Amino acid sequence: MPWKTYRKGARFEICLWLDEDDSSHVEDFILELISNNDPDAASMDRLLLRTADHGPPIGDTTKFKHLKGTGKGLVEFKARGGARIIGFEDKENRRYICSHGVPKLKAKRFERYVSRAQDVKELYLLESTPEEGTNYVH
Amino acid sequence: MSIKNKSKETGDRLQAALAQLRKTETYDKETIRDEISELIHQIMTREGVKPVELARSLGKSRAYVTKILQGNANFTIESLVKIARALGYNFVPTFVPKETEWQSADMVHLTAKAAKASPGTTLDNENYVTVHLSTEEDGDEGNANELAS
Repeated sequence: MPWKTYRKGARFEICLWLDEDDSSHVEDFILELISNNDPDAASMDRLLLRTADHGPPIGDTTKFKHLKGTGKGLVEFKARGGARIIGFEDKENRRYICSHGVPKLKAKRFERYVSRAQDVKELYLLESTPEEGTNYVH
Repeated sequence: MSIKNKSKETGDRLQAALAQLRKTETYDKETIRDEISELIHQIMTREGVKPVELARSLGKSRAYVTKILQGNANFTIESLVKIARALGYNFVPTFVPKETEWQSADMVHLTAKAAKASPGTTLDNENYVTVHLSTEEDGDEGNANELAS
């Protein structure tokens, strides 16, 4: 499964996961925020650019955190208004793979996105194992 | 239209939409709001100030400090000055030409705490403290190391 680069900064590369039909859930999500004139579009873009250039705001859990429980191994970027992007970190390649954009919603529905993100992470791990040599970027 | 072309089209649309968004006044306002809250959080961490302590210094509720840290508070000159003073800092506004790539998320200049120790001191550029919002050590924290295995 491929991914595309949103921003390659000095610290990290922010990547958007592509589904089988080559569409990206996160890309569609950001486009929707922009088209709805949602202020979270700016907040989220700034957070992703900041993470690429300077690293995530570690410790500021209102904007970035490592998920626990069923979301263990996943990270969450959160915009001011409550829009979230979940994904995971490839520490070795200094890369954040963003798999799902999540609108402000109740915890129960958020769990569904967490579950899907875990599936994507598993796929990514399969795809990016060094011996297969498929660590490609669109 | 092939799937690949469709994806490229969406990608181009995103790039165009983002480029447009980044030029807007709303974008500037939103990002500055986030940067201020992030900066306050950074100073609190650096100075070991807990939210409840800041709330007490400001004479406000803990919920107000939470709003500040989320960037949801209505920042005014008055509130910014009060917050800065409560943290032992001065709030220093800065205007930069539009063409300049302002890296406030990288480093923000704050008047040194030394000014408190010797009141009346005129600060020149050497008296400024540079706060790095993110250090190399920061980035290496976290628990997402499973991918390396």
